[in-house]
Amino acid sequence: MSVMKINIPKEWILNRASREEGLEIGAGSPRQLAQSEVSRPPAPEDIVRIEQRLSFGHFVALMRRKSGWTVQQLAQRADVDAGELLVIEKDPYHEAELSTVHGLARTFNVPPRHLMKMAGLADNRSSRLAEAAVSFAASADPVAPLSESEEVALQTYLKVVLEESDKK
Amino acid sequence: MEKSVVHLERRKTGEAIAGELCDDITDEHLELWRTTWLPHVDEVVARLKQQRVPIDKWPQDLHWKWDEKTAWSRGRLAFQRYSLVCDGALQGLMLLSVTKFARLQSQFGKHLAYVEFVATAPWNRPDISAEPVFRGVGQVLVRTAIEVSRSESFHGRVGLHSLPQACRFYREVCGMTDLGPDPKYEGLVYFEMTEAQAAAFCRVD
Repeated sequence: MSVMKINIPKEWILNRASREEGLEIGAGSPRQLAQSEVSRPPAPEDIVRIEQRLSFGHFVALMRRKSGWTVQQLAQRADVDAGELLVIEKDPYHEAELSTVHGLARTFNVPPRHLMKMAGLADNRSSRLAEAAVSFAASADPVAPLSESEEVALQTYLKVVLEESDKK
Repeated sequence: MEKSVVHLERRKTGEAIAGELCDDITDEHLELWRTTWLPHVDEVVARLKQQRVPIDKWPQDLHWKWDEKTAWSRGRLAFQRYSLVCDGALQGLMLLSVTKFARLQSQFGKHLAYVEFVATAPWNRPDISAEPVFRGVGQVLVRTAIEVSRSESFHGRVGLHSLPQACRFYREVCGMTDLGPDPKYEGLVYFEMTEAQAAAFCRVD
Protein backbone atom coordinates (compact mmCIF):
# COMPACT_ATOMS: atom_id res chain seq x y z
CA MET A 1 0.00 0.00 0.00
CA SER A 2 1.21 3.50 -0.72
CA VAL A 3 1.79 5.95 2.10
CA MET A 4 1.62 9.38 0.57
CA LYS A 5 0.00 12.72 1.33
CA ILE A 6 -2.12 13.91 -1.57
CA ASN A 7 -2.00 17.68 -1.86
CA ILE A 8 -5.02 19.07 -3.68
CA PRO A 9 -5.40 22.85 -3.22
CA LYS A 10 -8.81 24.05 -2.05
CA GLU A 11 -8.90 26.83 -4.67
CA TRP A 12 -8.25 24.29 -7.42
CA ILE A 13 -11.36 22.23 -6.70
CA LEU A 14 -13.51 25.27 -5.92
CA ASN A 15 -12.57 26.69 -9.29
CA ARG A 16 -13.35 23.45 -11.12
CA ALA A 17 -16.17 21.76 -9.18
CA SER A 18 -18.99 23.30 -11.20
CA ARG A 19 -17.60 21.72 -14.39
CA GLU A 20 -18.76 18.39 -12.98
CA GLU A 21 -22.38 19.55 -12.82
CA GLY A 22 -24.75 16.98 -14.30
CA LEU A 23 -21.99 14.54 -15.23
CA GLU A 24 -21.43 10.94 -14.21
CA ILE A 25 -17.89 9.82 -13.30
CA GLY A 26 -18.02 5.99 -13.12
CA ALA A 27 -15.17 4.00 -14.65
CA GLY A 28 -14.31 0.30 -14.62
CA SER A 29 -15.71 -2.97 -15.79
CA PRO A 30 -19.48 -3.37 -15.38
CA ARG A 31 -18.62 -6.86 -14.19
CA GLN A 32 -17.37 -7.19 -10.65
CA LEU A 33 -13.83 -7.92 -11.71
CA ALA A 34 -12.27 -8.43 -15.10
CA GLN A 35 -12.52 -12.09 -16.13
CA SER A 36 -8.79 -12.64 -15.99
CA GLU A 37 -8.74 -11.12 -12.52
CA VAL A 38 -11.39 -13.22 -10.82
CA SER A 39 -9.72 -14.71 -7.79
CA ARG A 40 -10.01 -18.31 -6.70
CA PRO A 41 -9.28 -19.55 -3.21
CA PRO A 42 -5.58 -20.47 -3.27
CA ALA A 43 -4.50 -24.04 -2.58
CA PRO A 44 -1.95 -24.48 0.27
CA GLU A 45 0.89 -25.06 -2.21
CA ASP A 46 -0.12 -21.85 -4.00
CA ILE A 47 0.13 -19.92 -0.74
CA VAL A 48 3.73 -21.08 -0.34
CA ARG A 49 4.45 -20.01 -3.94
CA ILE A 50 2.83 -16.62 -3.35
CA GLU A 51 4.96 -16.09 -0.24
CA GLN A 52 8.05 -17.06 -2.21
CA ARG A 53 7.16 -14.71 -5.04
CA LEU A 54 6.48 -11.91 -2.59
CA SER A 55 9.99 -12.31 -1.26
CA PHE A 56 11.32 -12.69 -4.82
CA GLY A 57 9.76 -9.34 -5.76
CA HIS A 58 11.26 -7.66 -2.69
CA PHE A 59 14.61 -9.30 -3.42
CA VAL A 60 14.66 -7.94 -6.97
CA ALA A 61 13.62 -4.47 -5.75
CA LEU A 62 16.28 -4.39 -3.04
CA MET A 63 19.06 -5.68 -5.30
CA ARG A 64 18.08 -3.06 -7.89
CA ARG A 65 18.02 -0.24 -5.36
CA LYS A 66 21.29 -1.45 -3.79
CA SER A 67 22.89 -0.91 -7.19
CA GLY A 68 21.14 2.44 -7.61
CA TRP A 69 19.34 1.38 -10.80
CA THR A 70 15.90 2.34 -12.03
CA VAL A 71 13.60 -0.41 -13.30
CA GLN A 72 14.50 0.64 -16.84
CA GLN A 73 18.25 0.43 -16.14
CA LEU A 74 17.96 -3.02 -14.58
CA ALA A 75 15.82 -4.14 -17.52
CA GLN A 76 18.52 -3.03 -19.95
CA ARG A 77 21.33 -4.67 -18.00
CA ALA A 78 19.46 -7.96 -17.58
CA ASP A 79 18.00 -7.76 -21.10
CA VAL A 80 14.48 -8.29 -19.79
CA ASP A 81 11.18 -6.52 -20.19
CA ALA A 82 10.86 -3.48 -17.89
CA GLY A 83 7.13 -4.05 -17.58
CA GLU A 84 7.60 -7.54 -16.27
CA LEU A 85 10.18 -6.31 -13.77
CA LEU A 86 7.69 -3.83 -12.39
CA VAL A 87 5.04 -6.54 -12.08
CA ILE A 88 7.55 -8.91 -10.41
CA GLU A 89 8.33 -6.25 -7.81
CA LYS A 90 4.67 -5.51 -7.06
CA ASP A 91 2.52 -8.56 -7.79
CA PRO A 92 3.20 -11.82 -5.91
CA TYR A 93 0.64 -13.61 -8.11
CA HIS A 94 2.72 -13.03 -11.20
CA GLU A 95 4.74 -15.98 -12.45
CA ALA A 96 8.00 -14.66 -13.84
CA GLU A 97 9.24 -15.75 -17.26
CA LEU A 98 12.11 -18.22 -17.10
CA SER A 99 14.22 -16.02 -19.39
CA THR A 100 13.63 -13.06 -17.05
CA VAL A 101 14.80 -15.03 -14.01
CA HIS A 102 17.92 -16.13 -15.90
CA GLY A 103 18.62 -12.53 -16.95
CA LEU A 104 18.26 -11.33 -13.37
CA ALA A 105 20.42 -14.14 -12.01
CA ARG A 106 23.18 -13.20 -14.44
CA THR A 107 22.94 -9.52 -13.50
CA PHE A 108 22.80 -10.11 -9.74
CA ASN A 109 25.52 -12.76 -9.98
CA VAL A 110 23.32 -15.40 -8.31
CA PRO A 111 23.08 -18.99 -9.61
CA PRO A 112 19.87 -19.24 -11.72
CA ARG A 113 18.55 -22.29 -9.85
CA HIS A 114 18.58 -20.32 -6.59
CA LEU A 115 16.61 -17.50 -8.12
CA MET A 116 14.18 -19.94 -9.73
CA LYS A 117 13.39 -21.36 -6.32
CA MET A 118 12.87 -17.87 -4.96
CA ALA A 119 10.51 -17.13 -7.84
CA GLY A 120 8.53 -20.30 -7.14
CA LEU A 121 9.47 -21.73 -10.54
CA ALA A 122 11.29 -24.70 -9.05
CA ASP A 123 10.04 -27.03 -6.38
CA ASN A 124 11.22 -26.15 -2.92
CA ARG A 125 9.73 -27.77 0.14
CA SER A 126 12.18 -26.36 2.65
CA SER A 127 10.24 -24.93 5.58
CA ARG A 128 13.34 -23.00 6.63
CA LEU A 129 13.39 -21.26 3.25
CA ALA A 130 9.65 -20.56 3.38
CA GLU A 131 10.01 -19.02 6.84
CA ALA A 132 12.98 -16.96 5.70
CA ALA A 133 10.99 -15.80 2.66
CA VAL A 134 8.06 -14.57 4.75
CA SER A 135 10.33 -12.89 7.26
CA PHE A 136 12.33 -11.23 4.50
CA ALA A 137 9.23 -10.04 2.61
CA ALA A 138 7.88 -8.47 5.78
CA SER A 139 11.12 -6.61 6.39
CA ALA A 140 11.44 -4.83 3.08
CA ASP A 141 9.84 -1.61 1.91
CA PRO A 142 9.96 -1.49 -1.91
CA VAL A 143 9.77 2.31 -2.13
CA ALA A 144 12.00 3.84 0.52
CA PRO A 145 15.80 4.07 0.14
CA LEU A 146 17.68 0.94 1.18
CA SER A 147 18.15 1.11 4.94
CA GLU A 148 20.78 -0.63 7.02
CA SER A 149 18.19 -3.13 8.33
CA GLU A 150 17.07 -3.92 4.78
CA GLU A 151 20.67 -4.49 3.78
CA VAL A 152 21.01 -6.97 6.67
CA ALA A 153 17.69 -8.65 5.76
CA LEU A 154 18.83 -8.98 2.14
CA GLN A 155 22.15 -10.58 3.08
CA THR A 156 20.52 -12.91 5.63
CA TYR A 157 17.90 -14.07 3.17
CA LEU A 158 20.43 -14.59 0.40
CA LYS A 159 22.53 -16.67 2.80
CA VAL A 160 19.57 -18.94 3.66
CA VAL A 161 18.65 -19.34 -0.02
CA LEU A 162 22.19 -20.28 -0.99
CA GLU A 163 22.61 -22.71 1.92
CA GLU A 164 19.26 -24.42 1.30
CA SER A 165 19.85 -24.68 -2.42
CA ASP A 166 23.32 -26.14 -1.93
CA LYS A 167 21.85 -29.00 0.14
CA LYS A 168 19.95 -30.32 -2.91
CA MET B 1 -2.18 4.61 6.18
CA GLU B 2 -2.13 8.28 5.23
CA LYS B 3 -5.01 10.76 5.28
CA SER B 4 -5.07 14.02 3.35
CA VAL B 5 -7.41 16.98 3.64
CA VAL B 6 -9.32 17.64 0.41
CA HIS B 7 -12.36 19.76 -0.34
CA LEU B 8 -15.64 19.22 -2.16
CA GLU B 9 -18.21 21.80 -3.14
CA ARG B 10 -21.63 21.59 -1.53
CA ARG B 11 -23.78 21.99 -4.61
CA LYS B 12 -26.65 23.82 -2.94
CA THR B 13 -24.59 26.59 -1.35
CA GLY B 14 -21.34 26.56 -3.33
CA GLU B 15 -19.30 26.39 -0.13
CA ALA B 16 -16.15 24.31 0.20
CA ILE B 17 -16.44 21.48 2.70
CA ALA B 18 -13.27 19.88 4.03
CA GLY B 19 -13.09 16.13 3.72
CA GLU B 20 -10.63 13.33 4.23
CA LEU B 21 -8.95 11.36 1.47
CA CYS B 22 -7.57 8.09 2.81
CA ASP B 23 -5.09 5.92 0.90
CA ASP B 24 -6.98 2.75 1.76
CA ILE B 25 -10.51 1.39 1.91
CA THR B 26 -10.76 0.26 5.52
CA ASP B 27 -13.39 -1.87 7.20
CA GLU B 28 -14.91 1.36 8.55
CA HIS B 29 -15.28 2.70 5.00
CA LEU B 30 -16.88 -0.56 3.92
CA GLU B 31 -19.29 -0.30 6.83
CA LEU B 32 -20.26 3.19 5.64
CA TRP B 33 -20.70 1.77 2.14
CA ARG B 34 -22.96 -1.01 3.48
CA THR B 35 -25.05 1.20 5.73
CA THR B 36 -25.41 4.29 3.53
CA TRP B 37 -24.65 3.59 -0.16
CA LEU B 38 -26.40 0.24 -0.40
CA PRO B 39 -29.78 1.30 1.07
CA HIS B 40 -29.74 4.25 -1.34
CA VAL B 41 -28.94 1.93 -4.26
CA ASP B 42 -31.77 -0.41 -3.19
CA GLU B 43 -34.20 2.51 -3.32
CA VAL B 44 -32.98 3.45 -6.81
CA VAL B 45 -33.31 -0.14 -8.03
CA ALA B 46 -36.85 -0.35 -6.63
CA ARG B 47 -37.72 2.90 -8.42
CA LEU B 48 -36.22 1.72 -11.72
CA LYS B 49 -38.19 -1.53 -11.45
CA GLN B 50 -41.38 0.36 -10.66
CA GLN B 51 -40.81 2.61 -13.69
CA ARG B 52 -40.16 -0.53 -15.76
CA VAL B 53 -36.80 0.79 -16.96
CA PRO B 54 -35.06 -2.03 -18.89
CA ILE B 55 -32.13 -3.43 -16.92
CA ASP B 56 -29.66 -2.56 -19.69
CA LYS B 57 -30.56 1.11 -19.15
CA TRP B 58 -29.71 1.04 -15.42
CA PRO B 59 -26.48 2.71 -14.27
CA GLN B 60 -23.91 -0.03 -14.85
CA ASP B 61 -22.03 0.39 -11.62
CA LEU B 62 -25.04 0.20 -9.29
CA HIS B 63 -24.31 -3.41 -8.40
CA TRP B 64 -20.58 -3.01 -7.74
CA LYS B 65 -19.59 -4.78 -4.57
CA TRP B 66 -16.84 -2.70 -3.05
CA ASP B 67 -16.32 -5.18 -0.22
CA GLU B 68 -15.36 -7.88 -2.75
CA LYS B 69 -13.20 -5.51 -4.80
CA THR B 70 -11.40 -4.39 -1.65
CA ALA B 71 -10.85 -7.93 -0.34
CA TRP B 72 -9.58 -9.03 -3.74
CA SER B 73 -7.12 -6.16 -4.06
CA ARG B 74 -5.76 -6.36 -0.50
CA GLY B 75 -3.52 -9.31 -1.33
CA ARG B 76 -2.02 -7.58 -4.35
CA LEU B 77 0.79 -5.08 -4.08
CA ALA B 78 0.03 -3.64 -7.52
CA PHE B 79 -3.22 -2.13 -6.30
CA GLN B 80 -3.95 1.01 -4.33
CA ARG B 81 -7.28 1.91 -2.78
CA TYR B 82 -8.65 5.36 -1.97
CA SER B 83 -11.72 6.49 -0.08
CA LEU B 84 -13.12 9.99 0.26
CA VAL B 85 -15.16 10.96 3.32
CA CYS B 86 -16.79 14.37 3.62
CA ASP B 87 -19.47 15.68 5.94
CA GLY B 88 -19.26 12.37 7.84
CA ALA B 89 -20.33 10.36 4.80
CA LEU B 90 -18.48 8.24 2.28
CA GLN B 91 -18.46 10.25 -0.96
CA GLY B 92 -16.20 8.30 -3.29
CA LEU B 93 -14.14 5.13 -3.74
CA MET B 94 -11.35 4.28 -6.16
CA LEU B 95 -9.18 1.28 -6.94
CA LEU B 96 -5.95 1.94 -8.88
CA SER B 97 -3.26 -0.28 -10.34
CA VAL B 98 0.26 0.72 -11.27
CA THR B 99 1.40 -2.11 -13.52
CA LYS B 100 -0.36 -1.22 -16.76
CA PHE B 101 0.97 0.48 -19.85
CA ALA B 102 0.00 3.42 -22.03
CA ARG B 103 -1.61 2.83 -25.43
CA LEU B 104 -1.55 6.35 -26.84
CA GLN B 105 1.08 6.57 -29.57
CA SER B 106 2.94 9.50 -27.97
CA GLN B 107 3.48 7.52 -24.76
CA PHE B 108 3.00 3.95 -25.95
CA GLY B 109 4.42 1.28 -23.65
CA LYS B 110 5.15 3.64 -20.77
CA HIS B 111 3.73 2.94 -17.34
CA LEU B 112 0.64 4.70 -16.11
CA ALA B 113 -1.72 4.72 -13.16
CA TYR B 114 -4.78 2.78 -14.28
CA VAL B 115 -8.13 3.46 -12.64
CA GLU B 116 -9.61 -0.02 -12.21
CA PHE B 117 -12.78 1.27 -10.59
CA VAL B 118 -14.05 4.64 -9.46
CA ALA B 119 -17.48 5.66 -8.19
CA THR B 120 -19.16 8.48 -6.36
CA ALA B 121 -21.87 8.05 -3.71
CA PRO B 122 -25.39 7.59 -5.13
CA TRP B 123 -26.58 10.90 -3.60
CA ASN B 124 -23.97 12.78 -5.68
CA ARG B 125 -25.08 11.22 -8.95
CA PRO B 126 -27.15 13.35 -11.29
CA ASP B 127 -28.63 10.33 -13.07
CA ILE B 128 -30.27 8.87 -9.96
CA SER B 129 -30.49 11.79 -7.54
CA ALA B 130 -32.76 14.79 -8.15
CA GLU B 131 -30.49 17.08 -6.15
CA PRO B 132 -26.90 15.83 -5.98
CA VAL B 133 -25.23 16.85 -2.72
CA PHE B 134 -21.54 17.36 -3.59
CA ARG B 135 -19.66 18.32 -6.73
CA GLY B 136 -16.00 17.57 -7.35
CA VAL B 137 -15.68 13.94 -6.24
CA GLY B 138 -14.70 12.84 -9.76
CA GLN B 139 -12.09 15.55 -10.18
CA VAL B 140 -10.57 14.98 -6.74
CA LEU B 141 -10.21 11.27 -7.47
CA VAL B 142 -8.77 11.82 -10.96
CA ARG B 143 -6.34 14.31 -9.42
CA THR B 144 -5.44 11.64 -6.87
CA ALA B 145 -4.70 9.17 -9.69
CA ILE B 146 -2.45 11.82 -11.28
CA GLU B 147 -0.59 12.38 -8.00
CA VAL B 148 -0.10 8.61 -7.59
CA SER B 149 1.18 8.45 -11.18
CA ARG B 150 3.64 11.26 -10.44
CA SER B 151 4.83 9.59 -7.25
CA GLU B 152 5.54 6.40 -9.22
CA SER B 153 7.55 8.49 -11.74
CA PHE B 154 4.85 7.97 -14.40
CA HIS B 155 4.65 11.78 -14.88
CA GLY B 156 0.90 12.02 -14.39
CA ARG B 157 -0.04 9.45 -17.04
CA VAL B 158 -3.44 7.92 -16.25
CA GLY B 159 -5.65 5.43 -18.10
CA LEU B 160 -9.18 4.13 -17.57
CA HIS B 161 -12.21 2.55 -19.20
CA SER B 162 -15.16 4.88 -18.80
CA LEU B 163 -18.69 3.70 -18.27
CA PRO B 164 -20.83 4.93 -21.20
CA GLN B 165 -22.60 7.62 -19.16
CA ALA B 166 -19.29 9.10 -17.91
CA CYS B 167 -17.42 9.61 -21.22
CA ARG B 168 -18.26 13.31 -21.35
CA PHE B 169 -16.66 13.85 -17.95
CA TYR B 170 -13.36 12.29 -18.96
CA ARG B 171 -13.30 13.91 -22.39
CA GLU B 172 -14.48 17.42 -21.56
CA VAL B 173 -13.74 18.01 -17.88
CA CYS B 174 -10.54 15.97 -17.50
CA GLY B 175 -9.26 16.63 -21.02
CA MET B 176 -8.25 13.00 -21.55
CA THR B 177 -7.73 11.51 -25.00
CA ASP B 178 -10.56 9.28 -26.24
CA LEU B 179 -9.07 6.12 -27.80
CA GLY B 180 -12.47 4.71 -28.68
CA PRO B 181 -14.32 1.55 -27.62
CA ASP B 182 -12.11 -1.29 -26.46
CA PRO B 183 -13.41 -4.60 -27.83
CA LYS B 184 -11.39 -6.47 -25.21
CA TYR B 185 -13.11 -4.55 -22.42
CA GLU B 186 -16.77 -5.01 -23.21
CA GLY B 187 -16.69 -2.12 -25.66
CA LEU B 188 -16.05 0.49 -22.95
CA VAL B 189 -14.34 3.63 -24.20
CA TYR B 190 -10.69 3.79 -23.18
CA PHE B 191 -9.31 7.18 -22.11
CA GLU B 192 -5.76 8.19 -21.47
CA MET B 193 -4.11 11.24 -19.96
CA THR B 194 -0.67 12.43 -21.01
CA GLU B 195 1.83 14.35 -18.89
CA ALA B 196 0.78 17.60 -20.58
CA GLN B 197 -2.92 16.87 -20.11
CA ALA B 198 -2.29 16.08 -16.44
CA ALA B 199 -0.44 19.39 -16.02
CA ALA B 200 -3.31 21.26 -17.69
CA PHE B 201 -5.88 19.49 -15.51
CA CYS B 202 -3.99 20.33 -12.31
CA ARG B 203 -3.41 23.99 -13.20
CA VAL B 204 -5.20 26.57 -11.06
CA ASP B 205 -6.79 28.90 -13.63
